[in-house]
Amino acid sequence: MSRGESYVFAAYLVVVAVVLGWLVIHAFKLARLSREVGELVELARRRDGKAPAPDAPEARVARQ
Amino acid sequence: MRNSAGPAAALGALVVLGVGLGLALFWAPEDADQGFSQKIFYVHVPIALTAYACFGWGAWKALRLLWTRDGRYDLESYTAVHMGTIFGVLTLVTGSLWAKVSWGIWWSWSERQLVLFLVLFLFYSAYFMLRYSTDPGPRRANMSAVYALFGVVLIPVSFLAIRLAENFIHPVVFTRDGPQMAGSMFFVFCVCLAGMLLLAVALYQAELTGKRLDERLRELREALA
Amino acid sequence: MSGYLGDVAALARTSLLLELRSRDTVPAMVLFVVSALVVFRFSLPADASDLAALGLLWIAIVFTAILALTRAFVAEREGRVLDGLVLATADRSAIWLGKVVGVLAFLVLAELVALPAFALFFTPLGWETVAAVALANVGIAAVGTLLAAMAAASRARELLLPLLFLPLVIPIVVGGVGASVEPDPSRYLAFLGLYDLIFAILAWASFDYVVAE
Repeated sequence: MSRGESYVFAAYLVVVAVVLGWLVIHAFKLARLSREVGELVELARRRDGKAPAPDAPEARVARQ
Repeated sequence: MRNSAGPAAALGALVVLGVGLGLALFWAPEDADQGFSQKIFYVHVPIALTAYACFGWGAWKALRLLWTRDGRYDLESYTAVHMGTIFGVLTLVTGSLWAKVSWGIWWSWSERQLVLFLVLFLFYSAYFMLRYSTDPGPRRANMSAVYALFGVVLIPVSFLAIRLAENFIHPVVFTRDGPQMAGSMFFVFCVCLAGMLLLAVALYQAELTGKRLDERLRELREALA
Repeated sequence: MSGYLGDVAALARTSLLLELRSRDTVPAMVLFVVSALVVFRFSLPADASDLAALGLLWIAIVFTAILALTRAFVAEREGRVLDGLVLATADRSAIWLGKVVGVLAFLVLAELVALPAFALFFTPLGWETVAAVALANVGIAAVGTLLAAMAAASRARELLLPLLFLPLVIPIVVGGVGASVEPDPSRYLAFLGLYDLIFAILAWASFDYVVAE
């Protein structure tokens, strides 16, 4: 591969790398968000003081 | 929170950009003067144009914020400027690679686009400094919006300044053939441009959704605590 | 309309009276700009052209202006006077205009010393440079006052103002150096005038949003 070609591929690679890097950052963010949602579901249930009922939210979570 | 635009744009970006880059690398004819290295053009210029579009979109949202005083535009303007800055940095990096392969140097002051993006990069970096050093609220939203508007006005003014400055900075002038492209090259360029714009839209939507989720979770947490 | 101009005049007068009494900003600016010019003298190689020195003059002016702008909203911030001003004036852009007049006055006073000092240390100045400085003052004051208000509202303050200011001042420097250096200064002076017009209007229109809650 000539030097010119390697620079071209470097340029294309940089673009791909940035997008993938952004993706990694957002994968972590998604993980954090779902963890927080889980915590908030717990908080809500505790606040209601009821035992966890086998209704929609929990069933949906369990199915995941 | 409707977000049908996000996945659609992501899918579109994947297809269009994938096709575009493939065409650029394997189908588009080689440039007579620059050879294979000219192909950086197919990423560099679409990224630059997409950056401008993002800054413009951010300024539009900023204007909406100031006009309607609706705080929801703050996040949209901020995300757009964020995207613009990412694409701006990519412009500088790809432009630098192109300069290196074309002329053997990593930077050239005679490349007006590159110099302009350097100025804009400095300007929009200060935007983030402004946001991070101000407490959240309507004051920060308003100031960010005004600053974003100054940004888009700065773009043409800076470009004019850079052109005027060339007379006395006396750069070593390197020239590159302008848009004297063959029809097929122009077609590939358009596909790549469309792909980059779709990529920006997809990233913008995803980032915006993430930030809004953050906001609503915070509200939820306060409501439950 | 007299209410508006009355507000502007009152604010400008306040800035100038405060400065007259405390006498801290303008002397500091004068000392800074002369010291900077001396430093530049030492930093230029012996065979440097007069044109290089003229470029440095513009750097000195920009950084001296930053000194003035950093102080522009200090008194108000410390006395929480700005909130009172914001409530008192019907059109808050009058605050901006009053401040701009004040900053302009400080800049002119400092330049009355700086320009002769430059002519003494380096090379005589032509009318084009003086005209360019006058035009640049307007742009610097207009944009800088708005940015100083933004910086004053943040936690970083003095750190933030140069970061916000320098990118926007690049066209001014280009216009100023071009007018000083090029054989045909009219294009650059016209460009400075255009910059002043565009950004002064923009700053005047948006100041209200920057100080309001």
